[in-house]
Amino acid sequence: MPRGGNEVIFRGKGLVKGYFRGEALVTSMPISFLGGVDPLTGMIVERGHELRGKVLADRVLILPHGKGSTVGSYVIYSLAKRGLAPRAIATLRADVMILTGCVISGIPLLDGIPIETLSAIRSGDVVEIDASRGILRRTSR
Amino acid sequence: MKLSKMEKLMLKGRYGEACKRALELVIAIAESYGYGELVRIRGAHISGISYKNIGDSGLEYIKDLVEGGAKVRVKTTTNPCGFDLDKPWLFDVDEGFFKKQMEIIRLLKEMGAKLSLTCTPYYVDNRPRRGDHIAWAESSAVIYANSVIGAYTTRESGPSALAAAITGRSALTRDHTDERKPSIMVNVQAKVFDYLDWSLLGYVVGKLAPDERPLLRVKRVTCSSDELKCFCAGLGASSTTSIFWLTTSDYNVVQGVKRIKVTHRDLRRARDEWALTRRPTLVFIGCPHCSLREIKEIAKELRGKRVKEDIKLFISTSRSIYAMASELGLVEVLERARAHLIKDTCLIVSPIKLSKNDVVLTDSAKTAYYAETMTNVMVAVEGRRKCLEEATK
Repeated sequence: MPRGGNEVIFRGKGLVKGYFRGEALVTSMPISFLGGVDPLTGMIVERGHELRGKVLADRVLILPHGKGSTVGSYVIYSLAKRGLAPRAIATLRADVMILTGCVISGIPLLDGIPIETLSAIRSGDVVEIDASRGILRRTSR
Repeated sequence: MKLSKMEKLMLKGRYGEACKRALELVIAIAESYGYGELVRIRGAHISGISYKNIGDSGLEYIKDLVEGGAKVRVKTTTNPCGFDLDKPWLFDVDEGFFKKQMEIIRLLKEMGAKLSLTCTPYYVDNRPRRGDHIAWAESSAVIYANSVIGAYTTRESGPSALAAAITGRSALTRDHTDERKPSIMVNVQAKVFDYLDWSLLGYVVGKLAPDERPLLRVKRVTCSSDELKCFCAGLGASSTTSIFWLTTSDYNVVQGVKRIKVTHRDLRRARDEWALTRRPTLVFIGCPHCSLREIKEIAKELRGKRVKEDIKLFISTSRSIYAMASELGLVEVLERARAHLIKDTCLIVSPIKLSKNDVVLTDSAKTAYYAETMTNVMVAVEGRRKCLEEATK
């Protein structure tokens, strides 16, 4: 739903309430937090992942869903405690691992965003997540 | 969401910070995966106990919960940890691992969990009754509790089962209602005789129907609950399934669902993937943990025999069953045969070092599957009797 200039809004369901505005990190590939992310640096290390080498800290992570062991929830928690986790997450379909990770870490989680989001928003865009109102907004590019 | 007075107080933090956070998690799961309601539970079983699995992140999380005043509100048992608490030297445990694992155990104890350290809590430590609502993690135990005992549990994750234990509540999902009905008919044409056959059958059914609730139609069933346990473990390893049914009667055939069949050839093919082509260096029995009856069978088989010098034979069970086996003199029989009856752990969750030259022989499809994906050793399966023969010949 474009709204003048560069602004675009997508809607979803806020599973963990909260607000954050910052730089987006977007991928169409699922992420495994156990093994796929280095818990000491918050860098994506999974071989063959398109975001390999990128760090999660202070980003709004936009991805289809998580994958892998539910132990990944603990990795999200541990990253958050060190300030290395994403500040907000938006998913097409949240899985138990991401949902649990976000709840125990207090990371705003917006679920059920449309698939177009993954192409309409690019890494580096400034976005705003308001999980309480169920809104993801691209404010500028 | 409709909440009771007590649940509202929990959310306000009256029962401590940890209880508040745990309930927030249960509610979030109920809102996204469940029917938007909570269910009171009578017991919990938590996974993610071994330091090898959860690492520093998991340890940190459990520690924060305990510091936030976490106490379990229902009878809670725990999955296996990284080593046998009485014989850590058998599992290549270094000092760092030992300390971290003991810290996890101390924290769980402080929370009030019973340290059953087993994947078969239903034998002795935490036996639900038919119709009980419980919150269990550990896939094989979940399937057993739902299908063999007739309890109700979702296939919980480590953190969600912990949250359920602390709050005494879980998300109300289909697994907690009688809407859990068969979604697929599996016509089993293969004949199943021993633990390995049941284990492979579970593994194959799970591969063919990874996200279903299967009703198995078999020609005739003569099987023990221990064999069903092996089926549960195989099924849990290859699927997201939480329940199955078994029937020999045409009356129970369900109309209007998908139908598949499993033939002798399907089982054969699965078995051939793990064919024994070299002499084993480690023989592992007890995935899931052995019952007392199984240990009796193995002791009978090993009486008067000796495991060869270059082979290790591990038979794993829970500490509760171990104590009974010890009372009956079975531990002595096994030790005399040079077999290791181990408790609290298993091959997969322990840090045991295996080299490229090692050959692991087991009678469990679940162990074979995980050993193959998590290590680079050669893995083979054989029936239990053959496993014991290989170790002693």
